[in-house]
Amino acid sequence: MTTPEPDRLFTPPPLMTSPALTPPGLTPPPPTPPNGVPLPYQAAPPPTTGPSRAPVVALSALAAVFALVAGLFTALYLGERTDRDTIASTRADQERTLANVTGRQEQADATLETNRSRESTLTTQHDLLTQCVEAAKGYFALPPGQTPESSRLFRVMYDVCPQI
Amino acid sequence: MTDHVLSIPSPPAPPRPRSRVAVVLLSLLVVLLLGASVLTIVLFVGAKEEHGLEVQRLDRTSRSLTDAEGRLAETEQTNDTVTDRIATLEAANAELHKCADPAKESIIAARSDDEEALRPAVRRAAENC
Repeated sequence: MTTPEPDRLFTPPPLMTSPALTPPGLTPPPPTPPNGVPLPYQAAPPPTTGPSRAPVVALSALAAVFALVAGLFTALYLGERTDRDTIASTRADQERTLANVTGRQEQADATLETNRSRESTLTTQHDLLTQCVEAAKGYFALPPGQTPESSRLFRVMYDVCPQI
Repeated sequence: MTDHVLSIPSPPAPPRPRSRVAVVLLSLLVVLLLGASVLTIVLFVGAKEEHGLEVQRLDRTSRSLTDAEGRLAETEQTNDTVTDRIATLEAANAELHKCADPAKESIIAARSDDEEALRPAVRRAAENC
């Protein structure tokens, strides 16, 4: 072993140590001391990974999950609201129809009441007319002359026919 | 021999403050999204309940409408039947009046001893009855 002379100090060429010239994936060779004696083995420093990324990853995953949940339930909420609005619109239409039907029902009830009253009056008149006409037909069908039947029929005509 | 060990400079300290800022911002985002999730879930549950109530109200209204339409149809049918009976009675009474009116006039004339009115009335009654 000889100590190099100070005036012949070896300076490594810069190109050899430049990382730009190092093929990718290969670590640059350890620098050679000027005296050519290899350096004792030094463990390479651990890769600089920086601070742990676990919290960032976990928080990002959590944020993604909550974003998905919020988006999903927003869509579900909007769907429910749309369905409810559609049903409410249908119900409003049916209530308008119901109000219309109720109004027609009141008119129909009033008309039916009037018609039933008219029918009752006509039925009473019909009964009187029938009695009067049957008596008159019987009376005029009899031969001339007073008989008990003619007297009875005349009595019916006398009582009933003026009520018409 | 060991006097020429090269010293390798240690890498610069990692930017810890930037990572901390990211964690804080992500935490805030998670809290915000958690709040938004809870809010949308609450809104969804409320909308679902309201939807159910609206369906029940629609069912009640539909039943009421069906009942009302059934009642109206029944009333209108009854009305038609009564109208038909009225028409029949009017036609029958009109026919009966042909005989009943002269008979009535005859009785009224007989009651009032009106001979001039009695004779034509009796004649018409005899013709129409």
